[in-house]
Amino acid sequence: MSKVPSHLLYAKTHEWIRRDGEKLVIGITEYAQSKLGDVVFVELPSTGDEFDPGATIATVESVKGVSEIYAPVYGSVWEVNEELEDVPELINEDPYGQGWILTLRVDEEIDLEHLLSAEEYQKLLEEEA
Amino acid sequence: MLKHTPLYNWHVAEGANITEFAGYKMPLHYKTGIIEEHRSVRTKAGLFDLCHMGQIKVKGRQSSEFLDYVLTQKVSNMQVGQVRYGLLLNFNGGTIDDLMVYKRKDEYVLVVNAANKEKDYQWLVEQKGLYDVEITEISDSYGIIGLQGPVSEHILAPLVEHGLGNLKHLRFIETDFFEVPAIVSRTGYTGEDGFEIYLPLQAVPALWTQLLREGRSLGLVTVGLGARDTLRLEMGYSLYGHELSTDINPLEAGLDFAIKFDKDYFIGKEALEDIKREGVKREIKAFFTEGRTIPRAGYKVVCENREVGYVTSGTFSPTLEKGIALVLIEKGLNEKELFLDVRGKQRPLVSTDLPFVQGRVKK
Repeated sequence: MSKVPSHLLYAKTHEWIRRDGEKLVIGITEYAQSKLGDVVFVELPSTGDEFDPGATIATVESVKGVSEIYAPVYGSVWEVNEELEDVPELINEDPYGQGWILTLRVDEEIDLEHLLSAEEYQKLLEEEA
Repeated sequence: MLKHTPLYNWHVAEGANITEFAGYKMPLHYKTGIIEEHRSVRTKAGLFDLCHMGQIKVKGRQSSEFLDYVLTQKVSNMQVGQVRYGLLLNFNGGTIDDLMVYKRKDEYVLVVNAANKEKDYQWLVEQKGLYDVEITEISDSYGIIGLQGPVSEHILAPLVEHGLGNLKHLRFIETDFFEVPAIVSRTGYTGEDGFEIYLPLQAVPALWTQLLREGRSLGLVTVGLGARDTLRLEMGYSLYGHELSTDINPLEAGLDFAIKFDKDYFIGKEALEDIKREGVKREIKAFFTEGRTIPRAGYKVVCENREVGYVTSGTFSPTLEKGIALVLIEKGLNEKELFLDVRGKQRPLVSTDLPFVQGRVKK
């Protein structure tokens, strides 16, 4: 079973989220990348694009399938990881680090209560296994 | 309850990503990933666990006549040691399965898709009627190992008692491995030269390990179902449930070469002749996609804002490094005006000929 970093928050759809003031850094988890396999393309939004909670903000394509990345809360795209345009496999190699996908600008007060803690996410993985 | 092949524990110990396929727990890919496995088969060699596939034995005085009756392929003029590709149709001309026929001295063995083995067996038994044949499903007694890629012969030949001799594509020999009787055929579904080895299920793990021991230094890797699919799709080979089904007839799938209309009769012949007379309405065509678009099975194809078909198989081609698709569309469309609907956006499709990648089977 893959290790779940304790300092991050998680969505049931297997994204990880790191809060940094009014910025949320978003990527996909180790479990998600291992299910997807070799990532070949990532479709990124433009900076400034706004998304409602649950909307598709990016698409990760592997040989085997396609996985959508959902906005965990309302926000606008702040930065995208342009390196993924040339080296999409960073998502496989370092999903919690260099394989980050984008950052969202959100209300500093925004409620992230609906997201899972590392412990809760670990439990979800055990149920899915 | 999911079934396991005798190599299941080996796959798990090697860290394979396991998926459910046709009621079996099978490796989707190993730690190396689909792309690496795919490239190894194109450049060196890959080893495949095919023990999930179905095998049906047809034996008896009228086995040739019976198979000529149920299959589109001509069976009665096959030589011992020959393998042919054929189709099992229903009376409407729909495809029940596609399969390989092996002609042994006293019997035929049909190698069928894993997902269809019970259905095929039932169908054959129902059609048996007064034919003097004995039909036995032997899938749980015999296993299959696939060895595919340009260095396959180099790996396998030293292990075969009297060598592979001049074994040609679509031919097989009977030999022993560790005193266990086996069939070695020069067949496969990757487009590369290669072999499929049939042997008693309990003997599979020992041969698997030995092939790996002999082959590792020549670049042999184990290959999961993921790369098995990308390899066959680069060749444009049909896969049951995608390009073929009871709703897609083999004329639409472009499998005319496996249908012998010169036979007096076979199940589905009249239906196919009717279809031919009225004109085949749809066809399987090959397309590339551009840029970052990867076509996926089920995506819709549109022409002048009208839905005209769908992707039956699509993937990222590891050899060409772009999207490739087989598409079932209405005949006679302007192929320059076809678009793929990708999550609501229209992406251009670029028409091409099959195969996507040139094959290298030994003729």
